[in-house]
Amino acid sequence: MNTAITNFSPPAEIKSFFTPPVLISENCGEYESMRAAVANTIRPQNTIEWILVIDVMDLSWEIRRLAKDKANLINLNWKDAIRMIVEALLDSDQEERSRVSQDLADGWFTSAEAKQGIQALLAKHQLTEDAIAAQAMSLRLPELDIIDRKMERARVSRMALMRDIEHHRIAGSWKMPQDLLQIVDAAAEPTPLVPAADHTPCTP
Amino acid sequence: MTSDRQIASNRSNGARSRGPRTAAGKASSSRNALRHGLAVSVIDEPAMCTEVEALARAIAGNSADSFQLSQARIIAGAQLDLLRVHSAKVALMNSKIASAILSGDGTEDVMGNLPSDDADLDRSDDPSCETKLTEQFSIVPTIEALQQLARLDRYEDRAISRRRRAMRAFLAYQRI
Repeated sequence: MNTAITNFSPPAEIKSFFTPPVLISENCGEYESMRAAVANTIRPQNTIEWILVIDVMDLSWEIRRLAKDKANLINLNWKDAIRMIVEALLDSDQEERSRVSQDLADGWFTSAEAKQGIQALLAKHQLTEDAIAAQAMSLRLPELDIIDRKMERARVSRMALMRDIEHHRIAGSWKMPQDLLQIVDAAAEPTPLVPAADHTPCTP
Repeated sequence: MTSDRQIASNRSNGARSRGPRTAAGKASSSRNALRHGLAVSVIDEPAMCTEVEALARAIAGNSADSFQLSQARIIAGAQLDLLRVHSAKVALMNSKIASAILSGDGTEDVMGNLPSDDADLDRSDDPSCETKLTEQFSIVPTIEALQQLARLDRYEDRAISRRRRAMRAFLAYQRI
């Protein structure tokens, strides 16, 4: 039962029980390499440990997916958020405010001039681009609330699994490596919000 | 007093509302209340016995006694329950992504560009992976999808708790 598994991939007899929870929009190769990194760090010694290690990996993958969902939700509401803020800050009649705010919001992604105009307007009212992020978040609060709760649940479950792995190792002689969380979480590059200077598309 | 017409009508209505009569009809209606089947453990499904037993043997090993084997079966059952929840979640999210792509909703990037028809498919070299869509655009989770996923979490938590209890019993016994 405690046959040492030296190559740190699931043994053949249990491999079919672990299907990667990877979506059609995700990269299976990334999942596999993260799982290999986690397995090499924990070095599972038996089937029970493999079950726990793969759960840790799956929860980490879910946390990463949820973090991307959060960023995508905010980013996709960026334009609406700009339009709403600009409309509230401009001094002119309603029709003119609507037209200008829509033009500036449309121009944020394509025109440096429009972007500078929005930044200047924000600065005039002692605001920064964080105000746009906040407005974009406020447009999707119910979704973001559920995502936050799901992330918290996944983090708590993951910590419990890690404690289980520690508990299961013989005589408590093994301690969870400090860098394990760094491996699973740092491997996931955060999805940047729209205004980030080094913004690049989230392609794998 | 009930008239002949009412009696005939009652008989006619009654004849129409006695439920399914054929075996196939009964089998079909017995699944009317079934939504995803996750509330029932695989341990209670005869069709899954072989898989539970195979995983239980892998967990317990060849030298296990009856107590270890019984705990290993609980662990295996809970693990397979967990896999079913994972599969249900992935299927739900994939269906949302697929319908969003087909309808063009929520699939545009932050600049409002829709993916081109031939730019979004990436065939992975890994045979265990199915055809994947690259992340060239954002898929926005809807509130309905998130709520459905959150509802599935409870089945996952339940399976994890059951598995944890059995694992502790299994390992505590092993150390005696």
